[in-house]
Amino acid sequence: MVKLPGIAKSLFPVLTFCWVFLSAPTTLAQSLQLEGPSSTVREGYFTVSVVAQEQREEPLTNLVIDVSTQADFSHVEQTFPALGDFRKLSLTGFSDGVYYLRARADNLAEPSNVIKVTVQHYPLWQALGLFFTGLIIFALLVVILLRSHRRVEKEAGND
Amino acid sequence: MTEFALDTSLGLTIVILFGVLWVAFGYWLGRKNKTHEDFALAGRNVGFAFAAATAMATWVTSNTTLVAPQLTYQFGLWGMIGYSFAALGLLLFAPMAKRIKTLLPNGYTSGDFVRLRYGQAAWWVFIIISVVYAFGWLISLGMAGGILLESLSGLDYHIGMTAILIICVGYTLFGGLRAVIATDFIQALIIIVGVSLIAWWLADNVGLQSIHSNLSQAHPQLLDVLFPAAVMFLFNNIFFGLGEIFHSNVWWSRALSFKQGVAYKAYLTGGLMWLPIPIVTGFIALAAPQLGIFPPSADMIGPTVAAAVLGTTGAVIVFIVIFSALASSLDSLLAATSDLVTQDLFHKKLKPNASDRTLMRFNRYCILALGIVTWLFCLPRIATLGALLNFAGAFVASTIWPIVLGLYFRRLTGGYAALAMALGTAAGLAAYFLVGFYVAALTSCAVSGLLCGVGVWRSQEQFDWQRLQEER
Amino acid sequence: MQLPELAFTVLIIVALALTCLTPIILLVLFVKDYFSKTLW
Repeated sequence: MVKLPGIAKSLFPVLTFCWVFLSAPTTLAQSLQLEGPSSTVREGYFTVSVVAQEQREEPLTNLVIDVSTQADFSHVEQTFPALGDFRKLSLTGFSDGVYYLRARADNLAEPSNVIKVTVQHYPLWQALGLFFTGLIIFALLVVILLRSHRRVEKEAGND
Repeated sequence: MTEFALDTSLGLTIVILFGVLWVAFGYWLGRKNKTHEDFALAGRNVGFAFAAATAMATWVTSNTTLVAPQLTYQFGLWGMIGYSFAALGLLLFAPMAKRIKTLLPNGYTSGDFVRLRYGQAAWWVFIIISVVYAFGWLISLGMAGGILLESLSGLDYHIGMTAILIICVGYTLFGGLRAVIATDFIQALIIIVGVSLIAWWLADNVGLQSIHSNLSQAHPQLLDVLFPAAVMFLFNNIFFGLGEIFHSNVWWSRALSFKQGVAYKAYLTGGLMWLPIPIVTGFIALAAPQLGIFPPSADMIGPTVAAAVLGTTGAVIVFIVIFSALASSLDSLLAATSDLVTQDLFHKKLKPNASDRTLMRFNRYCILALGIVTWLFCLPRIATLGALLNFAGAFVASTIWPIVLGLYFRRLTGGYAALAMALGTAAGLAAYFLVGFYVAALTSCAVSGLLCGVGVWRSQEQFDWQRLQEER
Repeated sequence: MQLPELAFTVLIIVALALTCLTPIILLVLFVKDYFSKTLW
């Protein structure tokens, strides 16, 4: 994999489209570099970003992300298109499992590197534990508030 | 090279047009303000229509138009339903608003109440919490304004952020709370009509059936009724919302400004009207996968979908809706925070003998100063919106129990109230850093509640409600 | 467990209908307050 020049990398988030002009004109191979979450995903959504090494002025056409449950992509389950010229995608709604992702563009022969994303939601007991803790405190608050309200209303009525 | 949904010049034109309109409107409304009470509390005589609209519109912040779709995109169903539970804050504040109006017929701020009910120590803790929260929110709104205008129209962040601050400071400065409430009414109408139009178009053209079948196939987790992360965050978010409303002078000054007998039904109506809005804005996000829209960051999902399906018209609607949502919260916060500073710090601590004229003038300087400080903080464009706000949950949730018990029970003393707020906040912050953001408000509320419970149980005091009726 | 389609449809339609009702309620209240001179 070809590493991006340091200066361009630091400016990348701000100047997505200017980096071509800033990087030194070395002879880099055309390739896509896909980056994803580094740790296990606990909420089922994550963001991936694509870094492209282009020498040409023209942008990537039809950048998409393939998602498969097999490392060799023998069966591509889903394909997500990027929005406009953006090279970052926010993906969502994944169930527990291991997913393999790669990026492709129409005008590049080779797809990107493959990244592995593990989705493991919080255990349900933990979620429900917090849920019921919250529910009890909330119920207590509502009961105290409404009973107090009725009490002061009554007192006001008696005055 | 990036395409923007709106032309930069069109975006700027809309901003200037609305700016001139709002400021002129504020000036026109401000002519009636003769006293400081007029300026800060709209003469304490706001009728039902404006009262209900302002309760609703202020709670429709940029969050309802941006974060509700974001949460729905990430957490699916529970994202939007959970978000709409924030209406509970308004609904539960309804009885409290009535109580506030009865106990403090001449009060000005939430700080007034805490000082008179609990004394100095609790007042200091409360003021720190209020200031942290108010600035957190002000800054996040200012930054949201800049970021949004930029992402929709390519207008430079600093210009957009400066413009929205100048406009809101402008009309609040001229018109006081009256201008804030009247603009809220119009902004509420704009927001609702805008989001309904977009959602209606989606339901009509994309179809609810096809959205559902696409989600169940490609993004099954979003339709899961037992989505662990979403179930886990639910009550944390609710307590955050309750804390925000119960403690903040934004809501107290409204309760005090309403006509006698209006506060209760206004908050109830406002809450009920607010309830379905996050579901509608969230639904917009659920249509995204079906439309093949996967935005670069989740918080842009709402505007992106609207602009994608409705083209320039959609982008204009989104632009105006979000601009209105931002303004309706920003102005309220400016007015309420400057009231707090004028009344609680300047009048009560520094110049007890200040004349009405002096107070009104100081209040205006305060609005201006708050605007400038917010602007300075917004300049570097530091954190993302969510990160700033989650932090505040630990602070505000600690005030829920002290406020509720303080309004209805004679026995809770100032010492315990101060301790509950301070330790609640500390525990919430500890949980935020040690466990995660999803337990910050919950922990804070639980710890503060426990201390308040001990306080009520141990105390022999019988607070005399008459002590709240302070001489001006 | 997934939310069935019917429940999903009902949820969205009801929310949308209620939201559309809101501006009407607000305008009616405004007109009422305006003519009884109880706006402010």
